Parts: sequence; C-alpha cells; structure tokens
Amino acid sequence: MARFVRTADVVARRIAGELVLVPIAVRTDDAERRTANFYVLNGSGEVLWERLGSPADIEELTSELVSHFEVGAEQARGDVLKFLSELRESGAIVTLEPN
Amino acid sequence: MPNGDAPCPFAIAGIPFVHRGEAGLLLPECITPDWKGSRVTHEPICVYHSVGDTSTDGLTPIIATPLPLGDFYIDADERLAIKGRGAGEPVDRPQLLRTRRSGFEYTINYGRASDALRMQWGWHRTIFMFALPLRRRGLSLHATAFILPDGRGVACPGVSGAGKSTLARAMLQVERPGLTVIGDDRIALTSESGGLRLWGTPWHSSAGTSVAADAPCNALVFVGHGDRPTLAPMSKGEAARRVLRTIAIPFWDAAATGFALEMVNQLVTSVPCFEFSYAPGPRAGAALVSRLIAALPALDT
Repeated sequence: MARFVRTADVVARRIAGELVLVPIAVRTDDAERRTANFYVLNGSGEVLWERLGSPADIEELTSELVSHFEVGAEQARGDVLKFLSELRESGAIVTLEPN
Repeated sequence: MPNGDAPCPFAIAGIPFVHRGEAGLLLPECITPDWKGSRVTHEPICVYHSVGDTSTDGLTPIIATPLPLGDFYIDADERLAIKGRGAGEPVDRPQLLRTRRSGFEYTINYGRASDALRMQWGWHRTIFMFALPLRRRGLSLHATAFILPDGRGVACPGVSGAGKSTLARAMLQVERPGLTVIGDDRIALTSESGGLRLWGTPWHSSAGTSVAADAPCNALVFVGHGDRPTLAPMSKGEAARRVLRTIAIPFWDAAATGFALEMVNQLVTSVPCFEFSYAPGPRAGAALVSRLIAALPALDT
C-alpha cells in the first residue's frame, strides 16, 4: 500500500492557535502545482499533519483519526482521503510508492 | 543614505526607490505625481532599467497569475523573475523583471523603450509588496487604513470587492480634525522596535486617496454588511484567515514566507479585531469612528 509523507516544500506556522500551511512553489513544470494557496488545518488536519512527519499509509492515518476523535472508521477514512488529495495537489505531501 | 524627517518622493514606508537605466531610456521622475513620499529610514531598492531580452529561457515557471502581475518564475538561484505581459494597448510588449538581490536590487528589461515609463505603477508595486517580507521588514496588506484623531492607526483588510474603497469614501466624509485616511488599496505594515506600524503607499483604488503618513497599528476592522452600523468583536482565528487572503506572500521563498506568517500572527494577536457591519450612507464613517473610539482601550496619557 502506498505511503505518504510531508515534503520540505511547505511552510507551517501557528497563527492565532491554528496551524497554517503554505506550500512553497518549487521548481516544477507541473502546471497543477503552480498554485499559491494556504491551508488552515482543523483538528483532524493537525493530527494527520503531525502523523505525516514520518511515512504513513491510509490505514494508519485512519486509525490515527479514530483514536483521537469520536469518529467511525468510514468517516475517518473519507477525511483522510480528502486531506491527502488536497495536500498532494499542493505539493505539501508526496506519495512513496511501495517497494 | 539620506536620513531625517524630510520626505523623499521616491520613498515608501521608509524605503526609497533608486532608478538606474541605460542612456536614452526615460526613467520615472516620481512614483505617482500626487505621492509626497515618506521619510527615509532604510536601505533603498535599486531598479536597473534596460531595453532588451525578455525571454524566459533558463527560468522555471512557478505560478501564473491574473493581470497585471504577470507570470512568476524562479531562476537557478531560486530568485524571483516575473514576465509581464503588458497591460494591453499601448503596452503590449512583454517585460521581464529579474532579481539581483532579493528585496534590494532588480532589473527590468523592456520589449520597447517607450514602455519603461508606462509600466512603473505596476512594477513599483510588485517589487515593493514582496520586498517587505523578503527584507524581513513587513507585509503589504490589501486594505483601507486610517488614523484616528488621537493618532491610533486602524487597518481594514479585504479582498477585491470587499468594500475597501467604499469604506474609505465613507471615512473621507467624516469631518473630524486629525482623522486621516491613508489609503484604500495597498497599505504597508511594518515591524518596528515600538510595535507594528501602518504606512500609506502610492497605490490607491477608486477612493483615490494615498497619503504618505504612518501610525501605530492599533486595530483591525473587517467590513461586513448590515442595516444598522454595528462594530462587533471578531475571533483571532477568523481575523487571521481574512488577513491571509489579503497579503502578498513570497511563496517561492520558505524563510520569507515563514516571516510573513509570523507577522500575521503578531498582527491578529496583538490588536483588537472587529467586524464593522453597515449600509453605506452619509453617517457610516462617523459611526465607525465613534464606535471604535468607544471600543478601543483608553490611551495612557
């Protein structure tokens, strides 16, 4: 199963108590990554971001959410997929293909 | 470096622009004719103008923006370059901004000599907006700002269409000695030893006001809509989200971006934040002034 991890191409700062991410525009010919945007993480986003400091797969991320919040596995998995999709598009995280 | 309190017509928020160009190229004689300039407190921004190559060979595209900023690139040393597409007739030739020293020295190559003067409004603004965080001096806010009669500064950030110019016009109608509207579009926010400071810039919007005055930043006010004028406290988190949408983030430079985010945090956590809801009318500006004076902590005298 594919694993995901944070890249170095993102600036994270706490602003008024909330974690804000700004993906840095790195050298790329990939037009999809040419966006200047910021993300304010909610509670589950922060937990996922913290966990993604080291590689994790979708199941591990889902159980991380389930252990932190009163949320069913199905909803947690949906949150994980949405989070991964948004942050992958911005370049803040990358997919590590299985060996 | 010139110093003292004498205003320099090329200075904005303490930073003067110095222009150099090849022979025969007409250079700006002022930023805009009605801009009086701030005092000079910091090292200048030098801009070298020339007619020449506007090709982006060797540059890496990082973002495409709507006019008038142009397309953003970085060079091999990860310094900013911007390809300007011109602003339509009569400036339809591309131009290329290159960074020599981030926040301090830039080169602009023009496709045609006569475009050099025509495009100064936009190039000055782009260079200045990003120079503030690149120099770790401050941020450019998309905002209206004014100074209350007691000298306290108020910033009203908002995205395009949020009502910045409408609010500025309402404030300009207030007949109260000492009340100064310093701008309705781009406001410089700087970090000084005494705290955060607001400065007018030459770049105004439809209210047409750009005053080279500065004041401490004592409050943030965001514009909302309502029948009766109401000034309500706003949460710091909501204020931060709104400010983030109005600042120029140097998003190709991680350290400068971190600085910009830290300044947003300092701003929203150090001053009271409000939403002012109103319906534009002849008394709206006076209502905001009286409600703000009542809501802000009393000045130590």
